[in-house]
Formats: sequence, C-alpha cells, structure tokens
Amino acid sequence: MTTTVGVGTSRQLSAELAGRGAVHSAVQNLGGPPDALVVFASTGYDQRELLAAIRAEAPTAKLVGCSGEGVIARGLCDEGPYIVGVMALRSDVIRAEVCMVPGYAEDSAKAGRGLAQWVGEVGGDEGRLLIVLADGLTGNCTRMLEVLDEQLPEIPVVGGTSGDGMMLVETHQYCEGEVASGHVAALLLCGDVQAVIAVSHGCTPLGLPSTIGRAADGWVYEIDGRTAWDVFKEYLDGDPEDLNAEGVVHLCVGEPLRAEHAGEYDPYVVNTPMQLDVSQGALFFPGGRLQPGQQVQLMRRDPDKIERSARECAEQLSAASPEADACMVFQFDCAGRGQILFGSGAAQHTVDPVQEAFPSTVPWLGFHTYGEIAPIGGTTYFHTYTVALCALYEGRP
Amino acid sequence: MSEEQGDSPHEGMSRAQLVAELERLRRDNTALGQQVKLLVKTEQRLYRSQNQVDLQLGRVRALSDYVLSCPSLPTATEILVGANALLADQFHVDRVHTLEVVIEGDTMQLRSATPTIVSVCAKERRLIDDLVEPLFVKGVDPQPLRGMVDALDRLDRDGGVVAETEDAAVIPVRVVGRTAWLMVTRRFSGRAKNLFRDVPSLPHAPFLMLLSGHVERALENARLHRDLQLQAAEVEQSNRKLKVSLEDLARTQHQLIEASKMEALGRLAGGVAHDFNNLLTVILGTAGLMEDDPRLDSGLREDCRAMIQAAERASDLTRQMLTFGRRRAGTVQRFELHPLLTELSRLLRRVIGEDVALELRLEAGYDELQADPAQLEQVMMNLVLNARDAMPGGGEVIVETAVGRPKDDPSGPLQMLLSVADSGRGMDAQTQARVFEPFFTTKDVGEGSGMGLATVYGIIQQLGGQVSIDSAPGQGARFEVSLPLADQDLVETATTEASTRITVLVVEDEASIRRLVVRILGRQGYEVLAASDGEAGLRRFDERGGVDLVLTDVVMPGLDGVGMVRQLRQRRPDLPVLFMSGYSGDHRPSIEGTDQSMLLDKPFTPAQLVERVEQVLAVGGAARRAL
Repeated sequence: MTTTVGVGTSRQLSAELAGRGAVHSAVQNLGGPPDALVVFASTGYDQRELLAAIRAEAPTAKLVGCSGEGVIARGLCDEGPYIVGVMALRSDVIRAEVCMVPGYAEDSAKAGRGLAQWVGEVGGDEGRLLIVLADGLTGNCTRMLEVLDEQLPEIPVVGGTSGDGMMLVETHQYCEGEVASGHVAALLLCGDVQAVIAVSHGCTPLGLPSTIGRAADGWVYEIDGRTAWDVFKEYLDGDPEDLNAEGVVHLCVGEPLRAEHAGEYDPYVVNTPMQLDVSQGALFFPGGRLQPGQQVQLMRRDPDKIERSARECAEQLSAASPEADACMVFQFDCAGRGQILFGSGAAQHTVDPVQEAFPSTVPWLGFHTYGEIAPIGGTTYFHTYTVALCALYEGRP
Repeated sequence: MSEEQGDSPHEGMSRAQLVAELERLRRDNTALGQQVKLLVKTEQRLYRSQNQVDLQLGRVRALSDYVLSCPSLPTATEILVGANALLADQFHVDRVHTLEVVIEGDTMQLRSATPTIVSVCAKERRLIDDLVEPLFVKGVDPQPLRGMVDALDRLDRDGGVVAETEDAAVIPVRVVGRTAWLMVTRRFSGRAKNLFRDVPSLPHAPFLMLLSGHVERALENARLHRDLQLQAAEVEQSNRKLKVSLEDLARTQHQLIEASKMEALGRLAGGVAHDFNNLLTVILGTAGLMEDDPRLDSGLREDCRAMIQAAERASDLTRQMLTFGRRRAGTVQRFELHPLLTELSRLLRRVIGEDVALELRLEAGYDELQADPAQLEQVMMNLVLNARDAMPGGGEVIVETAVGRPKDDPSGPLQMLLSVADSGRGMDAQTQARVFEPFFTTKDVGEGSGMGLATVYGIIQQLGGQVSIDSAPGQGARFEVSLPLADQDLVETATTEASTRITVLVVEDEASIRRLVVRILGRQGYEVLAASDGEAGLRRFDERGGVDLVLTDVVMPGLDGVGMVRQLRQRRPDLPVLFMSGYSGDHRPSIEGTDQSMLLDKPFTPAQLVERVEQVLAVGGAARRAL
C-alpha cells in the first residue's frame, strides 16, 4: 500500500497543547511526515492559536479544514468546546491540493466559479474528489454546487458546512495558516483514488404539504400565505423570539426530490433554516433552492430512522469495494443529529453503526456540520439532517 | 367511474350538506393540525428535559467515577489533578488551576505546580480564609477575588496566551478547618460558547460543593493512609529492633551464664592454686633445705631433686590456674600488635615443627592495643600449639588480624580481631561448649593439662575482650579473639572515613612522640599509619599502599628516616615527605635534596604540625620535584 493515513485527536483545554497533541498523534499513527493534514476542531479554542500550533508541528504539510459543531473519529463523537481531530495523509499515488476561496458569503456562485477554476488549474484531468468545507451560517451553498456541477461534471463533490457549538454566531474555515469566516475551503484529491459517497437522512413528513410564497437568494419570506417565521413558530415550544439551535433542530423543510432522481433517494431533500430576519419574519435556508410557488413538506426528525438509514448508508459504501479496504473515510454528520437529539449517547446512534460497517483499522475523521454536501444521481445537493459518508479507495475509477 | 362514485361517502348529499361537511372537515383538519403542533412542542420539551437530565447524570457519573478512583490516588496532587480533569470535562472552562494556599508570616500566596505564584492582598486573604462555598467572579473590580483572577490572566499573558477572564469560579477545599487549596476555573472573553457545556455558575454551586467535599475527604483519607503507612513502618522497625534486642539479650544471657560458670571455675581454680602455692612453697622450701643437707646420701638427694622438680611443675600449673582465675596481674602497656606477632611467629614456627605451616595475614592499619604483651604472647602460643595438636599429620595455621566488630556484637565498638585458624579435625558442639573449662582436654592422659585454652580465656577476659570458636568436625577450628583498641575514637573515625581520607605514614622511634603525632593527625581527619623505625615504616608502606604523605623522624636506630625515604622514593618518586628533626641549624643532619619546606623542627605544637602537613600536601607537586 502506498497511501498511509493517521488520525489523532486531543481534548486539551490549551489550544497550543491540543493542536500539537493531535498532530503529533496523527503523525505517529501515520508513521512519518505527512503530505497533507485535514483538521476539524470545535470553537472553544482560539482558532488562530490552534492552527499556528498545528502548523508548527507539521510545517511542510498542506492543511485544510474547518470548525465543527463537534468532531467525529474512531469511537469518538465529541461536541464539547475543546476537541480537535487531525487526519494526516501521505501517499505516492494520491496528490492532495488545498485552497480557500473568499467571498462565499457574498456571492456563492462566484466562489464556486473560483473553486472550479482552481480545480482545473491544479488538478487537470487528475482530480478525483473535491471535498468542500463552506461557511455554515452564510452563503448559498446550492448556487455554488450548481456551478461546480456545471464546470466540473467529472469530479464528485462531498463535504459539509462549518459549525460553532450550536451557537449560530460565527464559523471558521482553515487553509494552510489562514483562519477565515464566510469563505469556502477545499481539498482536491488527485491521482489513483476513487471516492464512494452515500447520503441519508432520518426525517419524516409532518402535516400537509405547504407552498412557498415570496422567496429569494435562500431567504423564504412566506409559507402558505403567512410569514415563514410565523409558520415555524407554531411548531416551536416556548414561543421563542429568536431562532435558536434547540428550536431549529426540531423542524425542517423537505423539498421534493427532482423527478429525474426519483428512486435514488428518499422522496425529500431536507433543508433547515439557519438565520432569521425578525423584522420581515423571513428564514434563511443555506441550501438556497427554495423558489416561490414551490411545494414543500414540513418534516421532523425520527431517531430510529436516523440510525437505521445511516447504517444502511455505511453498508452500501463498504460493499462498494468488497475486495479492498478503504484507505480513509470522511463522515459529515448533521449537528442536529448528535447530542441535541441523542444526548451523551450520540456516538452509539450516529457513529458506531456506520463505523461497524468498516474494518476497525480504516482511518476515520469527520465533524458535525451545519449542512452536508453530497451527490444524488449526477447532481450535488446541499442537505441538512443527513449524514454524508465518503470512503476513499486506492486505484483508478 | 360509477364505482368510484359509489364508494364516496358524500354521494347523494345536497350542496348544503356538502358545504357543511366541508366545514366539518376543515374544523377537523385544524384540530388535527393543532394536535400535531402540540405533539411536536411536547417532543421538544421532552428532548430538552432529556438533555438536562443527561447533563446532570453525566456530572453525577463523572463525580462517582472520581470518588471511586480516589483511593487509588495516593498524593494530594493526584487527587486535585483528578478533580481538575472532572471540571474541565463537565464544564465550559478555558483554564483550570489548583492553587495551594500558603501562609508565610503575614502574607498569603497561592501556588501551583507549574509554578504559578499569586500573592493576594489582605482583603482577599480574609475572603479566602473564610471561603466555605464556591465564589463566582464575573465582571471587573470590585468583584471579590477579581484581583486574584487578574493575576492569573497576567501570568497567562506572560506565557504568551491572550487571556482575559470573563467568568471564573473559585472553589475552596478546606482541610482541618481552613482553606488549604483553591480550585479555580476561568473562561476567557471572546471565546465561543457551547450549547452542551455550561460555564460554572451559581446553579452549579451544589455540585461544586459536593466535588469540593469529596476532594477534602480524599485528601484527609490520603493523609490518614500515609500516616498509617508511616506508623506501620515504625512498628515494623520497632519489631526489627525488638527482635535484635531479644537476640542480643539471649546472646548476653548465654554469655553471662558462660561467664558465671567460668567465673566460678576461675574462683575455684584460683582458690585451689592459692592454697596449693602455699603448700608448694612449704614443699619446695623444705625439699630445698633437705637437698642442701650434707647428711643426705646421694640416693635420697636424687629423690629430693625429683620431688623439687615435681613441685616446680605443680607450681607452673598453679600459675596457669591463677591466670585463668584472673588473679595474676600482668603489666599493661600500649604496644603495636603486628610487630609483636611478626616477632613471635619466628618462635612459633620453631615450636610447631616443619609439618605445620604458619601464615600471618595482618591487615594494614591501626594495631595498637593496651594490654600485657607477655600475656598476649601466651595467648598466641597456647592457641597456635592447640592448633598444632589438632593436626597430628600436619597442616596449616593462619593467624589473621583485622579491625572490625565481632560477629556476636555487630553493633558494638570496633575491636582488634585476632584469629587463629587450623585445618585440623575440628570440634563438635559439645566439645566447643567446654573447651575453655580448666582441665578439660580431649588429649590422651598425660598429653595435656587442659589448662591451655582455659588460660587463653582467663587472659582475654582479664583484658576486657572475648574469645569465640567457629568449628565443625572435620572442618578445622577458628578461634577469634576480640580485644579493645588502644585509641577507639581514632580508629572509629579512621574506619568510617577511610575511603575518602588522606593517609599519613608516621615513622618515629620515640613512642610518646609517635602516639602524640598519630593522635593529632587522627583528630584532623587523616588516616594515620604508625611505625617505630625505618624498616617498620617500609613494611607499613608496602602493606597498606596508598600513602599520601610520609612524616618521619630523621635520626632513628637502624634504618633512619633519610634512608627510608630514599627507598620509598624508588617505589614512588613523587611521594610527599615531611621530616621531623630535633636538631636545628648547624647541628641538623644533612638531608640531601631537601629544602626548608620539608622540615619540621621539634618541638612543635599541634597547630604547627597540622599546618606544615597541609602545606606539604598542598604543594606536594613542587616538593616532589625538589627531591
């Protein structure tokens, strides 16, 4: 095997100790100096101090990552304020390239074009997988994904949007030594590697279908002739005055799957509001697909379905290459499906079932996202309340 | 189509009926929708409660794990580190400290292992002294203990961490009624919050007090455990000492019984000898008168001569009996044992015959005894002859000396250990128990008086020493005599520090001066070897080795100081030497290659002697080159 991967985590309170500790552990498991590092961390740390410590420990490795609502690794799912996970990669057949594109919050389509151009420049016809880590609170992810699908039709795209401990205040993207917000960071894997991706959600419909009224650029102003916030509030306990994580996770909007993808996925692609404009009663859906006149379905989480569908999803991935073990797996799991739903036993419901489908030696890293990115059919969708799993195997597709 | 119409529950309804039905369905739908919304809200409340319970349960579980782990945490540091880990795991804090409250005079300092030292003002000191429950610091001065929190921030900034505490919790750990430790948690401003971890605050006070209470109890338990271990160790040590004391007591008791027995025998022997001496005096006197009587014919004169000779032999026996009974006084004086043994060995070799080899193994070093040399010679003679008698077919006798402690008195003072070992037939335990009794002998009738070893015993007892046997049938016998040294303190110091001390060889024919010099240098910490002339000096030098300085008289009988030093120089050209001379000026004998710095005029004071010795040792290199 010419590709080696090591994962390390740390729960130290000090950003410096945590950063150094996680990289040290990852590099030890790798058994040598890394070509690239993928970093997911919680926002309790001073993000710049953390990244500086990581870079100091492996100064020559390319680095990409983002803040998460929590970090996932082998047998671990931690949504506390102090957790960092690092995946270290070294290979002579897989080439890793990293970049960060600014302006995602302001013009996601433009950011998508910038990203596609970079992929073309550095990847040529060698690009095999693009992992996208976009800001979780801003931007229109669907716009960006539409551009990427259009300009990079051959390269599968997977990933997640960054989180911040369910505070919904500010998330961060990492690239090399830079920490930013409102950007999109990306990892392009080139060469002899193939990615197998699967996605599943665990929501069930609630009541009758609704109709989107006024909507633009991800903002939905009206549903069924009333303000979107009024409609949502009716389902939220305690008459909340603002959108908060505890409320948001209970309700989402299911957008009927496009006809051409029928049968390839659940009938609905799930979308969750992440921002509220109280003055207009409008809700912002980072997916950004909802259009005026569109029929949608309010939905709620179903813990049993979440666990069941995630397990099926992992088994599907594992079976995709029965003759070889994956050289690494990424897990992008919605923040709404973790501790807020399952309490301290979240790992037993969301991590263990999917990891059991793979040999215990397969390196594993992921994070709890504010949104997941994964293709259905030939189209890359922005999802919420899902788990997107991506297993990488050595060899040409 | 008709079938479908047939299935409809509304078939045949009038328009008014249909409108009413529609209205009913709308009402039902609205009610259903309300119920769904209510269910969704209820579900949210359930999740919220579940999360709260989960959070509390997690803390209780963590506390329980911690409490269970405490018995395996032996030190205060480990107990407090465990509590810190719990706080960091269960709460949203950026830093956790354990600070020991140290009071020195009027000042109070808070110290951690890192080391973090924070001095507190008098007002904060009072507050910390009286702190019995967690105190939460939020905001800036004049918040209580804000000054202490700011001091911790400053220490972090000095360490390169940009930190300003937004929330802090100060949790006291009280030991024996006073605040002994503070557990301090801090959360920095500008850091993101987290939904699943609370910042420690007033609602958490009961939990934090519970933790603090457990820490306090764990510290107390650890202290008690430590005390218990110390006490156990002390008891064990006492037991060991008691065991040794009991063994000593048993040994002493045995020795006492033996000594009493021998004392009784001695008194008996002494008494008998005294009476016999009186009788023998009369016999010898009367027989002498008879022998001198001219009327006596030659036959009777010969008989008389035989009677006198028998009486003289009987007189020898009574002398030995008196010695055993310690009624015969010796002439006690200070003398060196090794020259005595060396000299005596010549005589012994002749006496024991050619079949028996005699080897001397004399340990170099201090060998002065305060005893009667003649008595000691008799001891050696008796022991060696006894050894010879034990080896009728020939063998080897080894005479050995060492300064040490006898086996049966390992904690007593150092003594001169003098042993005589043979390779003869050895003795069983019964024989060993009686071997020092007067008139006890294993030899054939007429071959031994049974007084040889009894005499040894008597002399050694008289000299304040001990004699013991180590023997087994077929394995030879080893008699060990232990005798007090002439200068105990000197030897104790010398033996203890010998490995690190400077060795001085003192060669002086005048015994009083030699002893004085040995005493002065010994008290200064030098290891001192002594010899009475140049020849003896050479022997001591060769026996001991490692001599750092030779301090010698110039004029001595036999080989003088200069001649001796010349020979020593052949062995060690760089050997430092200091000559002592009673001559001065023009009368001083010429010493080739010697300058003033190598001469010490007699008389000298102890201080002068020590100063010159130190000088010669210090400039040893230069002095050596000069010779």
